[in-house]
Amino acid sequence: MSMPVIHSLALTLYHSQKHIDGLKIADEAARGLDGGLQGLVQEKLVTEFKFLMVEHTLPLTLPDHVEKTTDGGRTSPGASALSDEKVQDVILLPAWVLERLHAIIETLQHTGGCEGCLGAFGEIRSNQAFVSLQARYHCIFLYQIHDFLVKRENFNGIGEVQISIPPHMNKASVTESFHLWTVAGFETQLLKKLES
Amino acid sequence: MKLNYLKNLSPEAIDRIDWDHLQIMIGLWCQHIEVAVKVLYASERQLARQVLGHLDQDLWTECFVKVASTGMVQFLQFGEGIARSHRAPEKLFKLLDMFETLDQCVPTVNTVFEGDSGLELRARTRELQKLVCNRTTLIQLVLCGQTCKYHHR
Repeated sequence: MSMPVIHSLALTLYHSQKHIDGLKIADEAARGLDGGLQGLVQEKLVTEFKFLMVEHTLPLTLPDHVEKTTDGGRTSPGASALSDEKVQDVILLPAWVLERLHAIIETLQHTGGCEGCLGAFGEIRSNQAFVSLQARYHCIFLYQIHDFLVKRENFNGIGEVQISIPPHMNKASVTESFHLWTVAGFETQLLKKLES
Repeated sequence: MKLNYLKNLSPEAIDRIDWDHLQIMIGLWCQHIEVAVKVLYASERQLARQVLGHLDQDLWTECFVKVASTGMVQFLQFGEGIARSHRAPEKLFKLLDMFETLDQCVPTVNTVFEGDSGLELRARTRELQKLVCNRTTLIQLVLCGQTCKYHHR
């Protein structure tokens, strides 16, 4: 290959690289065009996801041992394969909660923010799996949701929610924010707490 | 479940434990690992599929494996510690109990932790089963040798 050809190829490569760099800068600028609104929306959706998960899932009460299925006096290993009967139904979520969670995930999927939901799911369920194993019936979960520290306590599966209101916020604004979330059950308990 | 015994994970720590206590610990381990695999992690997987099932399967199974791996690894480490600890003849029946439990759990482990993300946990459970089998065979051989020696005396 002659020298001018190599020179021309190198020049083309240089220009292509410059063009790619320019495109990257333009892409980053385009992302910043919304003034960070998209990020804010994603964050709110992840918070809502986290809140629904905290509110509607509980640690499992595990049995001391699994009943062995016997097959002609011999325990059959095949019978231990995952079946719906062994899975505790209490862990599954009500349909309306699922609809909301799926709607959040679908929205985030389009904007590429699903990692937040996956992280939140992992964090919440890891804690609750640990609690299930330790069989701590009185357990306290602390979650930072928006500006409020939400403390959830379980006494043998009966949940109670307490919210610490930061000093710079008044009761009315907190109630309003939670009304906007429109989460059944939680809201009622919250209002009771605020009234008392 | 009282899982305090899972703190003793190394073979050296296990060798220091009194045999009566160790027997109880192994008995508890056999019950607990079965409950954890067949009830807790099976249920957690159902929940993960229910909530995150709209996403790619690799994504939600990876998330579920992260949830389950901390507890599962502790159970496996305790089992490995027992199998690698001092090879005493009195451990034979307890090792056989462990083998039976693992034999019951392996099909569920393979189903619950299916996919690439669960590969490590599946392999580790299978390896533990092989290790327990190997240890049991060695103890049986030692006992066999001792019996033959006594017989020829």
